[in-house]
Amino acid sequence: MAFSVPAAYLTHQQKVLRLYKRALRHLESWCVHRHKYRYFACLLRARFEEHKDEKDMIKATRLLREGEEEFWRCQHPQPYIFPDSPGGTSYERYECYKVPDWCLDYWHPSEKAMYPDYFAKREQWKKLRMESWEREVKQLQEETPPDGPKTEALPPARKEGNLPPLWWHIVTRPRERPM
Amino acid sequence: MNFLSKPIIYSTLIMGTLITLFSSHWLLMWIGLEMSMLAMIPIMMPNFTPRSTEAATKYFLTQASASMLLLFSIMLTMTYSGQWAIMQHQNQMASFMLTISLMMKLGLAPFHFWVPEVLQGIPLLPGLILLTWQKMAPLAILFQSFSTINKPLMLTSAILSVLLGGWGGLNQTQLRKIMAYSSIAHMGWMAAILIYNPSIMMMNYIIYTFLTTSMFSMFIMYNNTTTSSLSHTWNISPLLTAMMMITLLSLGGLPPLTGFAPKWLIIQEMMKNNNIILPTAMAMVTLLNLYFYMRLVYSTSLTLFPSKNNTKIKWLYQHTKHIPLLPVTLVLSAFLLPLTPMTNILF
Amino acid sequence: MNMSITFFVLTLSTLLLPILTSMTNIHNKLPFPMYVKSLTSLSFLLSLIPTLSYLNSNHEAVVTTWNWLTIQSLNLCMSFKLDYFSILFMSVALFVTWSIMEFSLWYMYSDPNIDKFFKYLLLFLITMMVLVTANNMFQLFIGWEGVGIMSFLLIGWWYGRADANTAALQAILYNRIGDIGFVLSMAWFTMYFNSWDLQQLFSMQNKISLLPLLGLLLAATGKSAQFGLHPWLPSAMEGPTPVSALLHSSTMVVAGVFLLIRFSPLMQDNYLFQTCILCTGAITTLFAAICAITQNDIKKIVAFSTSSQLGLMMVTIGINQPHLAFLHICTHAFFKAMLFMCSGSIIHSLNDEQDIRKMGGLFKVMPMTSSCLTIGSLALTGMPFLTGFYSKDLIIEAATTSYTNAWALTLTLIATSLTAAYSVRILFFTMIETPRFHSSASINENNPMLINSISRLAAGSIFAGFFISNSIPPTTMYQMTMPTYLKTSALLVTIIGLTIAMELASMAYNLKLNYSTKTFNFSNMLGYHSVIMHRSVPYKNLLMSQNLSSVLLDLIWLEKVAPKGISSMQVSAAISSSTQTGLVKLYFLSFLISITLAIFMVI
Repeated sequence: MAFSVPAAYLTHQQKVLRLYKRALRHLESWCVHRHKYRYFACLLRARFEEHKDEKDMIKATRLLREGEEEFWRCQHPQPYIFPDSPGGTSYERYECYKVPDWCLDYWHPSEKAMYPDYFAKREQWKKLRMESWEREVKQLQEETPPDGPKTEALPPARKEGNLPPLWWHIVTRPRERPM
Repeated sequence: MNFLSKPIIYSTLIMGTLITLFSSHWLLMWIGLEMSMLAMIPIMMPNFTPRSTEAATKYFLTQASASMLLLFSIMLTMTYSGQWAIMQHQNQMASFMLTISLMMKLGLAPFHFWVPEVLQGIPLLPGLILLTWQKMAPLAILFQSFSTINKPLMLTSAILSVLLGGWGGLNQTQLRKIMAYSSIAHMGWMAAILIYNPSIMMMNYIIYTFLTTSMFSMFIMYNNTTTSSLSHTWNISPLLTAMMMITLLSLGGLPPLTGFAPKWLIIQEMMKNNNIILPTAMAMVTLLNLYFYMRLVYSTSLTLFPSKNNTKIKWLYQHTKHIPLLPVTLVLSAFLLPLTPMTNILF
Repeated sequence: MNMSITFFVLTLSTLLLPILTSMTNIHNKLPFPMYVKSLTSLSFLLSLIPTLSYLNSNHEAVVTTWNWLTIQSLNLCMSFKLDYFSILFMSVALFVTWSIMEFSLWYMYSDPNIDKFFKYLLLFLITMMVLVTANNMFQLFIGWEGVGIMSFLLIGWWYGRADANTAALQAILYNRIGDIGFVLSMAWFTMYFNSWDLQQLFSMQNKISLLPLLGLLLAATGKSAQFGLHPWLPSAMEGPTPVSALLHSSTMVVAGVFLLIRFSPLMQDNYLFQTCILCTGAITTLFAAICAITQNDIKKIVAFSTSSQLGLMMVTIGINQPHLAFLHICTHAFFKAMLFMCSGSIIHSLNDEQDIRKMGGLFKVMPMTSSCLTIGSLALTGMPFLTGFYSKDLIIEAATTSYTNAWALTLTLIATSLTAAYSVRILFFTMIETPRFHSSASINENNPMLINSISRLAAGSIFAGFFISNSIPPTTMYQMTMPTYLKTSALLVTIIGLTIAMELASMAYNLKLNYSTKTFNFSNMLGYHSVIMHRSVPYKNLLMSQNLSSVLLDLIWLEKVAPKGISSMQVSAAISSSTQTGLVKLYFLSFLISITLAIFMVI
């Protein structure tokens, strides 16, 4: 969308494709009705198709630049934003109901007794976590280059029977919405 | 020098001042001043070096011209009133002459130039005498004739002295010059209070004498004449650095110490006489004095000064010089403040 | 007839009951929200008794119960004024709140803190009751501040969301600006009238000056979101939809207008002040209508239409028809609350989707909601014989036949025609055409809590205007005769607005792509008001302050002038005064000069 600024290290192709996607999404803000949207989306596609075989990189770069400028010029003052995207109407709305996972450990035994299955499983999880923690950290240390990690994504489990690093945070994610 | 000459010279010095103090006759008073001045000159040059000779000469010239002016003023008084007795001056011109001549002798502001130059040229003990004993006679005369002194003249000179005393000392590393400028500033304070309440002036003089005596005694002990030599004190006598700090702060007039008493009383007395701006200005300008005292304190006792010394254990050796009065003056210059009411009654 | 007072007290104490007993388990049969809702409906039924008694026998009362505080001659009592305004408003507010609470049972059903939510709603309602029934300014102020604080808490209900917190702060800050005006008036009244009692203030209406009235206008501007202090009202849509329905349709935002209605005896002869109100209202109604016309968030459109209607109420006060303004408050409460609830129903069904560009075709899937939305919109535009008609038509008639500011009148008429335009726009985008929402949305409006509450209000939107305007005694004389074109002017401008809007919509419907124009941007970006007032003014202010503190204070005064200036001065003085060469010449020169000067002084 509009706030994903083109990074400097993208290839020309990636830049063009991202522009196209942004423009297509943005068109929805202008053309509310589907038939109108389809028509102008086709026109947009045609404009991109027209120069798809452009070999001259100078000209292609200029075209891309003009495209970006036109996009900037024609942007909607109130573009459509998905409700749960940043800037949307329900973004962060349910943050206040999220309860961190460790709170469960502080439940009273009588409360825990109401959900025997879950807490039995949870104890197993916790044991598993204690066991696999060393291996996870070791794997992370081995796979992290000396100048820091390259991506935010965590690596998968490499060996048979191992768990992916920091799997606990994926398993015990807090609820997204109130129940 | 003949071994007899020293007692004779010193007794002449003392006698001269005493004659001035005891006489009620103008001419005799003048004679006392002259005696002490002339006796001072051989004391100032025990070694006949060119520097001390020059200093003595300068001293003689200024003091002689001041005496000449004083004599002129006495003759004027005599002409107009027909008598030699000390009493109220009817003639304003004579009063002016008298005041200016005594200001010259004391080293008050526009005539202060000689004080640091002379003091720098002479040894420490004559310097001490010059700054303390030699002030007594002129101050005694002013004390007796304070009511006829022209106030604007005296106050202008007072504030100028405090100001120039502060400024002069800022630019110095020589201890004797610093003490000379400090003396000028203190004289300014005395001159300011003289016309309102000479008793406080006298008290200030006594306390100043104590303080200066302690400072000079400490200088004499290790023959310190510069800031850098003073900065070795920690090596020679660690206890003395603390005492020097206290004495210097007392000179600066900081509250729990003796030096605060005269400043306090002077400011209070001037306020009582509806003179508010002048003491305020003087108190602010005295901060300059405090600044260079603090600088001495800093180099002496608060830091290791970047100067070389050959042995680091000088404090092990026995002191060769003994100054018996030093403990007494140190105590007096540090802890006299609680006794302020008593000292006030004394004068 | 003392019965009405008894029942009034009973109404209030019924409302207080859940708050007072919230720590106990007195409601163990029912969940707390249900309990609150039931007591509110009971309270509404109880409040009908004084209302009917008033409608039947025109029975007004002042209840003074408890001497609170006596400061010399200023006597503060707990005192309730049960007159036309408060009695009628109480019933209306309770009815609307009852429906809204039932709606909240459905809308907030999944919220873990629903008990707290209902407590907030109830406290809000109680403070509003205190506000409308107060008989002195102090009590009025308590209610006034109470709704302010409760609106802050309710708008910031989703406190995990940064925008919601900002909106809550914005609401409370703008209301504080209004409070300055209120406190100013209170201070003026104590100083000059030595009383906060309404009767005593009204008895001295000839001696009043413009200042306290302007204070009241500022207070009303803040609370009722009139132009200049309006941005908090659209921002307040960050709150849950029932909150929007309660706070920003029928209760809190009309408190400002209600204040002016309360104090209308003080201003009925002050034409300068009436013109001030009139212009404020006219600008607000037009500005809000212009903003509403291009918004895409369904709640924002409804919020701006509220703002526009509040402007219309101010216009009505400005032409010296406070009773008419009050009538509009009452009728407006029904259909505006219902519009909010309908949009809440849509939003909830579409998984929090609020953008009308992503709606459409709801007429088929949500028939009840769509019907009620249509009824509400028609009532809002002043469709004859719906509730809105009875007040709006009278207002326009009164305005067109009065000797008033023609510009303000024109603005109001334009805003009226725009009302039709944006109402049609909501209907057009939400209901007809093909659906544009995500196919995964599970739409189900067959919940009695939703259906009952909305249909109850729909009945109110259809009939309330008729009943209220028929049964209340006419307190001010309306214009009875007028030319046909003036009589039909309200209808005409509405139809014109509707037609033009439909024409424009059908023109833009097919194959024409318009990028933003300056006028579109102006309307869409809310007249750039927020950008200017919330961004550039504080930015300039902070920049200036930073320059003052860092450059003027820190650099110039605290560094250049004080330490460095003094030290350089002292150093140069020290050098020039002590760098002497020790020449005897100098000593005698100073001696000579001084003695010469001294001699000259003597001579």
